[in-house]
Amino acid sequence: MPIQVLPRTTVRQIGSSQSISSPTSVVKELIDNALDARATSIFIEIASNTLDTIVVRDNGHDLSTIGGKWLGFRGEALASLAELSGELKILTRVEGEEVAVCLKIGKDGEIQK
Amino acid sequence: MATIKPIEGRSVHQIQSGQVIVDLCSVVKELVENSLDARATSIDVRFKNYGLDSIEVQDNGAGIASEDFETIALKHYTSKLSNYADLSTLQTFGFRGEALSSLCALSKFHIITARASDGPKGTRLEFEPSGKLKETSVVASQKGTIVAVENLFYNLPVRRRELEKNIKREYGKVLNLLHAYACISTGVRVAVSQQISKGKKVVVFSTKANTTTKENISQVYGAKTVLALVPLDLKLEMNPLGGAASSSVKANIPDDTSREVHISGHISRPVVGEGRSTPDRQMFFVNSRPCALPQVTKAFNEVYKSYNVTQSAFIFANLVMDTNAYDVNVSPDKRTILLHDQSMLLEKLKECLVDLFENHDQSVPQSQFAPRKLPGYKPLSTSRETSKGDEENATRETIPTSTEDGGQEGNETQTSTVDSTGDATTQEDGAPISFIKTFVERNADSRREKPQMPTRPATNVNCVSKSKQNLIRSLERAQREPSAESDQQEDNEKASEDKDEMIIDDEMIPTQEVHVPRIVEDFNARIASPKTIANPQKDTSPHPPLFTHTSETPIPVISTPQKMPSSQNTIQNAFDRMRMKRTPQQTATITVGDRTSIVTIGSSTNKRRRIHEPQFFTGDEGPSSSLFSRKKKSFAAPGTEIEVSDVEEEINDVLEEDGDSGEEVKGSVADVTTLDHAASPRSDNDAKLYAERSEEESEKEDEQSSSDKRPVDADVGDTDDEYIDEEEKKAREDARVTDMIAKAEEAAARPSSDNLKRATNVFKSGNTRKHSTLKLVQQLDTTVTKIEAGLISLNQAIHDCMRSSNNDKKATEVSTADTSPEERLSLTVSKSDFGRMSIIGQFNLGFILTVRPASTSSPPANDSLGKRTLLRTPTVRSVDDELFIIDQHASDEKYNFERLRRETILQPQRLVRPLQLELTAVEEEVIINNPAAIAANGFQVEIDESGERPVGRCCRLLGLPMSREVTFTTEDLEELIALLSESGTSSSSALLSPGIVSASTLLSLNHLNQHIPRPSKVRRLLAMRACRGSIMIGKTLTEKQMRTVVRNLGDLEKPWNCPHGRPTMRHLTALGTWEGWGEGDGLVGMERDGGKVNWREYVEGR
Repeated sequence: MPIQVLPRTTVRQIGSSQSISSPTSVVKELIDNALDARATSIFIEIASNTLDTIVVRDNGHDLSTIGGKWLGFRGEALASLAELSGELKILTRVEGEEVAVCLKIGKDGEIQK
Repeated sequence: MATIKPIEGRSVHQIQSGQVIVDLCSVVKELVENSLDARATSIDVRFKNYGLDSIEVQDNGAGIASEDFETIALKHYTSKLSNYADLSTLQTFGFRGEALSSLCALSKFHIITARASDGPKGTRLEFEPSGKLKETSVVASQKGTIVAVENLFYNLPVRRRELEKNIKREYGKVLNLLHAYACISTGVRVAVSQQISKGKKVVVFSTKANTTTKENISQVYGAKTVLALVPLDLKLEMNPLGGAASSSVKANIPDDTSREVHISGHISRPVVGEGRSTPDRQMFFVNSRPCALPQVTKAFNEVYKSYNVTQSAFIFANLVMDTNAYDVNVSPDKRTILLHDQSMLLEKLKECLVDLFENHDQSVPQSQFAPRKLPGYKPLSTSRETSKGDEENATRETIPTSTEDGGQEGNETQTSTVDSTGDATTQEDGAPISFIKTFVERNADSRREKPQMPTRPATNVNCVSKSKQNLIRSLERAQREPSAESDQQEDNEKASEDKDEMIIDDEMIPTQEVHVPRIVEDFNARIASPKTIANPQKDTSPHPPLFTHTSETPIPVISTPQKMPSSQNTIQNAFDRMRMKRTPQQTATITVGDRTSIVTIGSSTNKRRRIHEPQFFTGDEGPSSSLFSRKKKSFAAPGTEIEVSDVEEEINDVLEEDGDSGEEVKGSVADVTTLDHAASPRSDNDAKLYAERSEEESEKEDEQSSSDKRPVDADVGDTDDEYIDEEEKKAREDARVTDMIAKAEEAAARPSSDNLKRATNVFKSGNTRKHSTLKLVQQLDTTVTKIEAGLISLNQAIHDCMRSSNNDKKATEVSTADTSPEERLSLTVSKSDFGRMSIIGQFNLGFILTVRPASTSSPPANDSLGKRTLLRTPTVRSVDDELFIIDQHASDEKYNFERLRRETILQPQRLVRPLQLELTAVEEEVIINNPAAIAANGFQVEIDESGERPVGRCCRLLGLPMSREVTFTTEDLEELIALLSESGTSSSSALLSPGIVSASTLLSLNHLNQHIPRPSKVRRLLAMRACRGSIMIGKTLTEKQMRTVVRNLGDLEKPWNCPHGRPTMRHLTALGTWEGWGEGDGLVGMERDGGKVNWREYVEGR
């Protein structure tokens, strides 16, 4: 078999399942995100089988203001989540806005809606 | 910064590369895996300066096609995978296409590759950090690929510094990793070498394309490691998941895939002493991919610990399973593997391991105690023969056995003398030949039967076979040649040919004929040419048999100085070795009475001759003496023979063993005195040496062992006379010897010390023997019918024995092929054996001696056992019978401990005020699920199920276990909870209603759920109670009690060690190899009876 490039999707799949290997890492990545967003309060809801739903809510602001140390830096977590989950939804309301925005993200990481 | 934007390309590359190549290990691992994936059969890994300067991996694999040069190092280019679905059927180590590109990013990297079609020309590829091909050049190269990584992490300063700082540790980790690859890769030569700066290249280790992992392990870790391993071959049948798996998951996993997990490999014997002190050698593989399986590791260790508390196992386990059944793509280094159905796999694994270990049970370090054979012994036996031969032929049958045991082992010279005398007599009678034959054959048989005997693990089968060959040859010769001794000598010769092997043989094989012959051999070799003439002349006249004998063999050659064994061994092997070496020694030591003199023997050999000349020859062989003088030099051994015979004749008395020795001594003395006359001083010395040596040995033995062994000769009834003779002789000898000693003193100094050592050893051995106790009193309570029944059963048993022994032979022959020699040689005891052991008696009021009958005999029921012992009939003793010593206290303690641990319910003491427990949710779950175990350990916990309290505060502690000596706290409860959570979720107690459980349900539960975890304090408490309540050392036990103790052992979970770790049992010796023993030695007929001492006769007779 000659050496050939892996299809993009394969690369994504391989990489994603590496960075998100279990529900534990899902929760970890999301909490990291919340902490990076300077949240002062974080709520986590997990379905009893740890698979069906995982919801992390925080009251952080966006990542704009403060520099310094981030827990995350690779930009892989959400992409991997999108790849591996049945449905990834991000509900966010930036301070000062009146309504929140719900983002549904597809397998390829593009916003669907 | 605030906004989300893509990371710039180069940074991505570096970040990802840093994830793939994190340390030295990952570099080596990726490269070696590439080589393995390329089907290389030879892999060289070369480190320079621990890999800081460079790491090179060379293989002879397929090489890289030129069209792939451009893409080889690009990220996500690979030949091992084409899409994600292939992952589930992956057969190669690598698959992501990241390693080489990462290496490009983090180091100076180049490849030299050549394919088979390229001839001796290879291509050198240089790359840019991005992985793009920079340039190619042509170089000379063999087929295969060399990948060189230099200056690792040159562009990541922090990592570089870390690496330099920890390089030794990193290097160690790399080696461990390479060990794993080297061990699992059968058919691949793996060589690892290291070069420090400009130093020399050092090969760290290498394997040789072995076909089995076992050979690999032995080459990587040393052959010794392998000896302690047992093969691991577990088949775990994985039940398909029940309803738990969702349909979608099921769809992914085709039903036809094999659900069986096969674990092959090696693991340390589950016996104390066979493990390792640290768990540093535990390798796990999934389909040959080295990986870390923490849960599996833990399961292995848990099970192993329960058999060998103090040590860790060497584990080499390859989990062969369907590629669908696990997920490799978890961590960048692929060391983490997710096993589907892991919990089920673990459960099954533990079960199988327990089975395996149970079957292996205890392989006891086999006692290497062997009956000691003293050199002096021989002369006794020989003299006996001669005397008997002269006097009565009838006694001969008995003689052979004694000679075998004692005499053959003894010195060569002695044997030779014995032989000559014996031969002469025997030949005249005509009987001796057959006698000898049978003798030899007997040994041969025993040897053949014995290969199973577990004496030495390391010794080779080859040795045995050689010895057998020798035997066979010797047998053939024996048939041809009338004199048995010649046979023996020949044997010896052969044996001596390969001395090392001989030693081994001796160790393995109880029969000692081989030893004796050695000296003779030497003699023959040296003397051969000169003597031939002399012998016939000399020998012809007195004893025709001597003649033949001498002509054949007896030229003593003292070739190598003997090596004196410094320490007398507990070990049979060592002992044998000492002996054997001794005989060939050049130095001769004469001990007369208290004095010992040692003479180093020069080149020539005629020791005995001279001795003979002055005294005997003049008288008897006057004419031959002149001839003698000429040929003195050549004849060493024959001289001695003559001497003995002459002496015997002269004395006319029935010379007992002692007599012989005494005579010999005299002879030697004579030689010494005649030294002046001797043509060559050296020859004299030699003669002296031999004489001395034999004398010395014989004397010592006589002195020490004579008391014990003489009685054998009781038939003759001349014991008193003998003793007197000895004394007289000694007196005379002393006088002469003083002169001798004066002359020989200089030479004597060194050897004498040796002799003394020997002597002390011998003495010691004699003493130790006297410590052994016997059960002298036997109460008989029986009826005629009982006896008859017993007789019948006995006959039956004998019958079975014979048959089984025959079967055994066949079986062993067959089995030798597949079982490794180590396996055959190690002694294993299984729990069921305790049921079969027959009780011999109590030893030192602290130990029970038992015999485990050969495995083939049907396990006797208790009744028949009793009968057997009562009847006191000589039981059929098989070669496989093993003698064990069992610690009565430790055994009973272990029994009580297991009983207590199973049944004890500690009494709780209520707390005045219930204690609110602060627990995590998980801990609370454990408490709720295991009420029985909690209660059994004496904790009372109230669980609030109303749901009103928050999680973590539902439990209140009502009571703590109570004991006089120990105070319990909540920490003990925490420990218990930890134990419970470790012990697994499968607690049947969940079925019971939570809450405080009644004792009855508890007990019933105990039967279901055998194992109640006990916190350390409770365990200690129970161990203490068990200890106190057990049979103490010093207590006299009746046979019934002893039997109970032994039988109880068989029912225990782990009978091998008491709760404090002391072993309950040790192997003493195999009865098959055991011939007589100290106190019994010399008793008439004892040896004939087949080993059972007939004490009643003994007592009555005396």
